[in-house]
Amino acid sequence: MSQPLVMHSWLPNGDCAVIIGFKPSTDRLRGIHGLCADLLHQPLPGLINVIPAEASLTLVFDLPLADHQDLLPVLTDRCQRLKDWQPETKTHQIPVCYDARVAPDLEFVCDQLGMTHETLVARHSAVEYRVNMLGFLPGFAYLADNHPTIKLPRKATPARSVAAGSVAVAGTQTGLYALSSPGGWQVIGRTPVALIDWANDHQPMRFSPLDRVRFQAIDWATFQSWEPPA
Amino acid sequence: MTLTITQAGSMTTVQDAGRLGMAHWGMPPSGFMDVPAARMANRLVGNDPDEGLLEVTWSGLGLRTEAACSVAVAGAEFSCTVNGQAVDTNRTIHLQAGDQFRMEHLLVGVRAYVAIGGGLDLPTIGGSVSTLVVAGLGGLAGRALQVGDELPLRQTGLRATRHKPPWLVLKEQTIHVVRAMPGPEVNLFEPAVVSQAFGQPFQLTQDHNRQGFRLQAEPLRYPDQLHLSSSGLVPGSLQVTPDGQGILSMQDGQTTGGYPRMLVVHRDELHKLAQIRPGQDLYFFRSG
Repeated sequence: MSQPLVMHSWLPNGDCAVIIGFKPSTDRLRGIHGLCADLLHQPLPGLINVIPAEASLTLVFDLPLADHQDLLPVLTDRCQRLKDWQPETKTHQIPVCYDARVAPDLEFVCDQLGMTHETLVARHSAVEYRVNMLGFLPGFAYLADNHPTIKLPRKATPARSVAAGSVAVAGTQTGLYALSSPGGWQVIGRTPVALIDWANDHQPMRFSPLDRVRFQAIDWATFQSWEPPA
Repeated sequence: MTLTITQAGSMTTVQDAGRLGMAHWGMPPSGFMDVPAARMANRLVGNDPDEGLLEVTWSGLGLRTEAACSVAVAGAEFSCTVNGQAVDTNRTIHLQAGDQFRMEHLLVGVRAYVAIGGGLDLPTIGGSVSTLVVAGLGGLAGRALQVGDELPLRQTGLRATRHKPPWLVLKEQTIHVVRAMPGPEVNLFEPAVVSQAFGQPFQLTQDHNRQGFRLQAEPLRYPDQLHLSSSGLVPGSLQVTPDGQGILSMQDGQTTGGYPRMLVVHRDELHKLAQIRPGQDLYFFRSG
């Protein structure tokens, strides 16, 4: 990492949590995930959850924070340590079926973008994405960035139920639903691969932040007969 | 040995102290909504206070036991029967093989906790048996209980009788006050709007569940020109939506949020929110 992460704000978030904001830099998101990984690996006393976001990291403790002055030097030191940190990232090939039978918003998205189905699929599967974040719901992956022409708002009213494996777009990002849940992103495809494996206690999520993802278009028959490799 | 569910109630889920250390994957904490009540129920049957039990919401549970076991109810007050005979819920309830236990009528509050001596024998995810219905995980098949479900017990046999301290029996109340501190985005609101939020009553609407409570009140003026980046969200956060109304995040709420937060309820006051009924008044008392 070229420059270490620099803390620049400290906002109490209830009596037991704090949101730490960081100075903008090209490496900020990497730094935030680095600090998050470091705090998970070597937790601070009483730390029960760490929540990374685009510009901040939220630390949640088991008891009210009595004196945050104690935490500042520790965290400054942890940020400094990131100078030599390199994430171990993987590149994933994810099969996606871009078929209206599993993509309820496909037609609407093509209409909105003024694109044929073929163009949309070609452009969406041509890009290499970076996993910016997991979150909001368990395993939901935020991937950046879409092909510059694939940009559109979220739904005004979220869908009541979006199937697990759904590949959806909103803003300039693609989102992957690891579990079936309500959701406001426009669904353009679905992957047959599981994105969470609860049997793997240590790392149940297929993706880690900063991993790379490529989509490979598969047809309806391949999707239906998909079997996970043994 | 199992308990058979003969009446499921409108929303009965398995919960324990929750699933911590996984928020960076988007995992909400889940767990008991009314922590002291759940711990009391466990204590009445001699369990570890954070043992998994049943959180019963609004309408009562019925069950039949295959073997002798002890159960206890805490939190919301229900009239309860064993084989049709009224029983005292302020103490441990002992069931013999074949007995039918039923929670008949909700008297006070919203959420009751039913603990079973020895605990439930269910698989854990991330160290917890808590059900996260929105994601279909944990508890029994990741969903609310249904009639005919069979809950496996870790052990059977009767426990010592214990009594609920009278001061911990939930009393009827129509006005609720919880302590809260100004939220991370409080400075985006005009000072008069902040005073309004800490002074006026909010009413709980029908739209409330373990993810969040939608509140109704005199609208809070939404900040102009708002460009907020999402950040970590904790239970008890009052998020203001563009229509000026509030959503209080709860135990199963999402882990990040992008609406400005007016205030955040103190952790040790969250349990009070679990027992508020729609239409009742809720006040936030400014503590900091």
